[in-house]
Amino acid sequence: MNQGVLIIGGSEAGIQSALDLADAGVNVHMIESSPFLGKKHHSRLPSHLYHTRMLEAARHPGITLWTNTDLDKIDGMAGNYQVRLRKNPRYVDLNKCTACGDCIEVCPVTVPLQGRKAIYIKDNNEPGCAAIDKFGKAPCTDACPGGIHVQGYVALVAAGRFQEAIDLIKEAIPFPGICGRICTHPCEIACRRNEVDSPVSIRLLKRFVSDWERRQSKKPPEPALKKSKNKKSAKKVAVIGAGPAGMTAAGFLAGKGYPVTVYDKLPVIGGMLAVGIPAYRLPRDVIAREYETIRKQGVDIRLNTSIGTQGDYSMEDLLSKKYEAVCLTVGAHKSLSLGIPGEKLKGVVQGIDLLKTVSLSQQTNDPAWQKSLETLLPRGPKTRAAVLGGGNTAMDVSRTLRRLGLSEVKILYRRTRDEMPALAEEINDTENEGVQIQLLTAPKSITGNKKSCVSGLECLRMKLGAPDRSGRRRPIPVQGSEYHIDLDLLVIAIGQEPDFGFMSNDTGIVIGKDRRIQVNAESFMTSCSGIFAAGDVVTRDGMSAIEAIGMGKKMAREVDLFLKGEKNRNTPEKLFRPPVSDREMTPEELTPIPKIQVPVLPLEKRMQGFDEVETGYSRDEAVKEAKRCLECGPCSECMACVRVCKADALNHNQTVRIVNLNVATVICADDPEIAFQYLSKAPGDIISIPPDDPVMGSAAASRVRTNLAFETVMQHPRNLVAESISDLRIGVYICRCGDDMGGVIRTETLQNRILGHADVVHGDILPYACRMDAATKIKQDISDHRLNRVVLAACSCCSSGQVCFSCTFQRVRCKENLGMYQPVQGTGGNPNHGLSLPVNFEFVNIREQCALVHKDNPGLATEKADILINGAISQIRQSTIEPSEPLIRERSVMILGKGRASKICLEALNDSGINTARLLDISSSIDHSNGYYTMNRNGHTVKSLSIIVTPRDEPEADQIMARLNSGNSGHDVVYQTGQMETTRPGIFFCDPGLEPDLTGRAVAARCRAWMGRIQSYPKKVSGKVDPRRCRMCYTCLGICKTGAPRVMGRGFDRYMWIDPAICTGCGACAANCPSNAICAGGSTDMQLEIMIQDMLSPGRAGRGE
Amino acid sequence: MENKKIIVFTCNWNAYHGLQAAGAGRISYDPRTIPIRLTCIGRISTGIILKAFEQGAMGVLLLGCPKDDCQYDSGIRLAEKAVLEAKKILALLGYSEDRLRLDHLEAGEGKAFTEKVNEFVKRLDKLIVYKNNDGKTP
Repeated sequence: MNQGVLIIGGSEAGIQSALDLADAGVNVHMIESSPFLGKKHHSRLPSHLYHTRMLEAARHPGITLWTNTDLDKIDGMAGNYQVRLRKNPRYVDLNKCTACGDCIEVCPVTVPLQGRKAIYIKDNNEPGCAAIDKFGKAPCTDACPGGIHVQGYVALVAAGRFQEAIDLIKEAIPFPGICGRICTHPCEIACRRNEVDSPVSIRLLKRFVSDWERRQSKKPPEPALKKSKNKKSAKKVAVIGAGPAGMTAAGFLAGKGYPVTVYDKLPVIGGMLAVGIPAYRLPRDVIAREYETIRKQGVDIRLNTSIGTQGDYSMEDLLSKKYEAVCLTVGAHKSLSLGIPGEKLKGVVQGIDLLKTVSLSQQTNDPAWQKSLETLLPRGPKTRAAVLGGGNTAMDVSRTLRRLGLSEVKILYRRTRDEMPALAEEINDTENEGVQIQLLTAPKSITGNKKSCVSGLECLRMKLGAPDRSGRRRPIPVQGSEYHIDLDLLVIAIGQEPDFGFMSNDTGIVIGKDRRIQVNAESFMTSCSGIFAAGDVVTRDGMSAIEAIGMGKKMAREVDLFLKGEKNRNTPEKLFRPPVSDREMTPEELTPIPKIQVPVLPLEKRMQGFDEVETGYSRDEAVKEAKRCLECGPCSECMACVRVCKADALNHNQTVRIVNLNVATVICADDPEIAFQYLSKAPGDIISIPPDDPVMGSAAASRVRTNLAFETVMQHPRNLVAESISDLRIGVYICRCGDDMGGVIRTETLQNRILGHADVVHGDILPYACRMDAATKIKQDISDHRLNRVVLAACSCCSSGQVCFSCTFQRVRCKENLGMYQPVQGTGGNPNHGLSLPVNFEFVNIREQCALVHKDNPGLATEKADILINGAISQIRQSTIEPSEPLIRERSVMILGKGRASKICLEALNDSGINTARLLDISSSIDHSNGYYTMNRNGHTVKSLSIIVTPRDEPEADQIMARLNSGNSGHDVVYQTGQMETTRPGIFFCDPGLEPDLTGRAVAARCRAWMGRIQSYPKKVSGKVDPRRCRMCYTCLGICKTGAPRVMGRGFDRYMWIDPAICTGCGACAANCPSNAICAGGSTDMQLEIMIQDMLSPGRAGRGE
Repeated sequence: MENKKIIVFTCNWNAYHGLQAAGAGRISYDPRTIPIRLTCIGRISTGIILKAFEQGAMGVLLLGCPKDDCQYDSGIRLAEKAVLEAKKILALLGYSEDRLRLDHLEAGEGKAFTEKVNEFVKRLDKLIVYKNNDGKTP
């Protein structure tokens, strides 16, 4: 049966419960739904004390702290609960973050209302590491088929950080300039600004940064994916079709180290981008520049090369040429026909063919293209043209025709404007440029003249009926509405399909009924192994460039896995799709801000040629437009934090983790409304306590039994005599803490000086002392160099093992990694920090004491660090390796007094198997020796490790205290009203004025925890008396407020002994001991003096006394 | 190395927390100060103070908890006693009593820490320049 306890809510009560239980040896899991433990409720503790409690909980080896964690499900019953936890991502590695704050500096997003960045650290909260505020993906980022961190680059543009913005885009796609012009921008459709006014002009921002980059340098930019990262692979890949899908895949695979050859039958690069999109929308130099970047990655592009039975190579040729994989990205270049009479007439052309002819006549010197263009326009500018269709191709064709000088260009569409697949902005531009759009018009037949040239079109008027399968309303012909229009050119632009001429029939590639290549939805592989396909050739609905790019990327990933022979395609990102952030907007955010209109070429200038229509934002306009972003994430995933973090602590791909636990008890110490939520889910009886009441926390802890099996081997208390080592071998480490220290303190200088010290056999510099790799290295060095003393100059400041006001998460982590918090008892840890050799550690803080405060004076900061390290070396040189045996005492309690709490205490302690005596009448005095309290009672002796005073009233309290104090010299034990602890650790007090049931339980828990604590951890700070020097003057007894010094031995052999269970380590006894017999806080007076001497007169260092 | 150092003894609790807060807040102060942390300011003894002067310290500043908030209850009182005794001996040796000071600090008071330290150092600088800039035997 397991003994674990789950505590819900890292509140003050929760922390108290956790510590009381963990100290008593119970395994505790504490969950906190927010990323930080912090003071959220009223507390009597000042913040620094509260902070210390949190750190203690974070440090405790018996407590597993789950931040960002919710309770998902709870089953079972008291004694055996099955709990399912949902650990939400923090995106920051708690084992690496040093809280340097660099990420906060670079984060471009300020969270509305909070006034802090999307990545943040909370002062006085634990764990003292950064956390990212990310509810999920921003809707724009989620919508982008290309996987661009959209909100990220918008945020970077808003911050004026254009280089980072363009780099971020290029990490996802190779075509920022192309997409910045022709993208169908699903991001803008998803943009939450739609709820307020109009979306952020994201596409134009992308265009702006790509233009900006171009202005910075004339050369095509270097590839984002450096091919040098990956070893060259021997496996070759062929890509057929140099369109966006094919080239994205080619670039990605080249980046992975595969030699890639791209074949395209066109004489120009770009596929549909270059021949299907007119130059006034996408200037050809933009394509050229971005393709050149891919070429630089090592992609071999072969133009004018057709594949097929009649082409330059057949598919079989390619496969026999030892291409391990072939990607088919041939697109859809064959137009669909109308199926009406007259389609074979001269002057009836396919939209895509017309665009191709125009584009190629402009881009190549081949006169054939020029000639075929001329035949298309039999009457030159007077040619009367009509375009059938309502998609972007129809718009492109009609606008192209206008630019070729035609004055009469019509678009005929059988539905209404609302059903047109073209983008609204395209339709507007088309109309503005003088194209007449006739809606609800369908062709019936094409009429021709004697030369079998087109002469006109019979049309029908339509009306809209019920919606069809696509959701659009179906057009129905209006009876008798036929009419005729005169024409010289009819362009059909109603859609395309792939041209499968490249495949011979026996390739084995299956083509579906939809006239598309069938591929496995996950692997993108066709029915033929090693042959993949993506883009328009596999999708029926006409694809946008960004969709093709996204698909090309996914296919390339699959090709990579295929070539590596990996079968497991279930990457974490694939298994877990992060939620889309849907945070609530503040009223201020819901205020409309007008969109910045993009400057365009004046109409009269457009018709003069194919110059780009949109001229793009200026710098100021772009920044202003980007600032309209509502920061939905709020984290924008701009990855600036990832780039700046030297400790490598960021991971934006973290996903939700489900954790299953079995626990015996559940204590809920969260806010009442959250507690209610959890309790309603719970089947058994869960203990629920108010979050701000630590007494209730202890009381709840006492309900959990602990059968902690301490060995009850009796040990005679003695002064631990140090084992002296003559052969000192000291290792010194200096932490750079990234640049926090390394940037100020000259670590190399220090390292050289350190190695000049006597006994220092090893000196090294660590990038981050608080990371696990540093601890691993130190442990390795200890065995390699046989070190027995280690000085670590970092930010940790003591080796005491206690948690003080000034402690930080990183210091605790550093010591934890070195094994310093492993308990001696209970969980079976190794007393020597888990090391094979006995080693003493000494820590010296050169971060807060030198680097951070003397930044402007690196010379003196280094000198000061040197002095402090000298001090630490001096201290550790004089330190003795202590036998780190545990203080084994039998857990036993005496309950004194007639108060009602006495019975409660007795029950609670008996429950945990603790030997407890309840004494109602105290007739004799109570002695304290050898670490136990003893009292004579009816002729026999009652003995206990701890005492709980449970008086009925105040007079009885005073009477018991008098008995307690009568047998001892030194300071009296004093209680305080309302407090559970007295001035003597180990003696507890149940205030008769308080509710007995609650107090009794709480005190029992604290007492039990204390007994566990003193046995589990050797207390380094506690005083030790050298019996040879003690001359029994009783000075220490007179000074010690807690009553730790006790007399040992008899007659002339008497000496003082300081009970480590009671000593708080203040060291007042050591300071006042006339014979310098006491070592406290790690050193005797004389050792301190030598340390001062070593620090101030370094020339004499190493001599000691 | 120029041996004009000022030793600042702090207790492990409120006073050291002040030093830590000054560090975390990146508030700079005189770099000639050498901090030495004791468990409690009551850990100081007359001998340790005198040792610092013997080794050429310009001054010794002791910072402990506020009088009514000592972690160990009586540390401040013990430190006062030690300081008083040390001052008597220092006077016999001819040192100015301004070179030794005991002060208190509340938890987390980084700014107060730097102010107290800087103020003490400033006074020492004045004092020692006045005494013909020898720094060792006034």
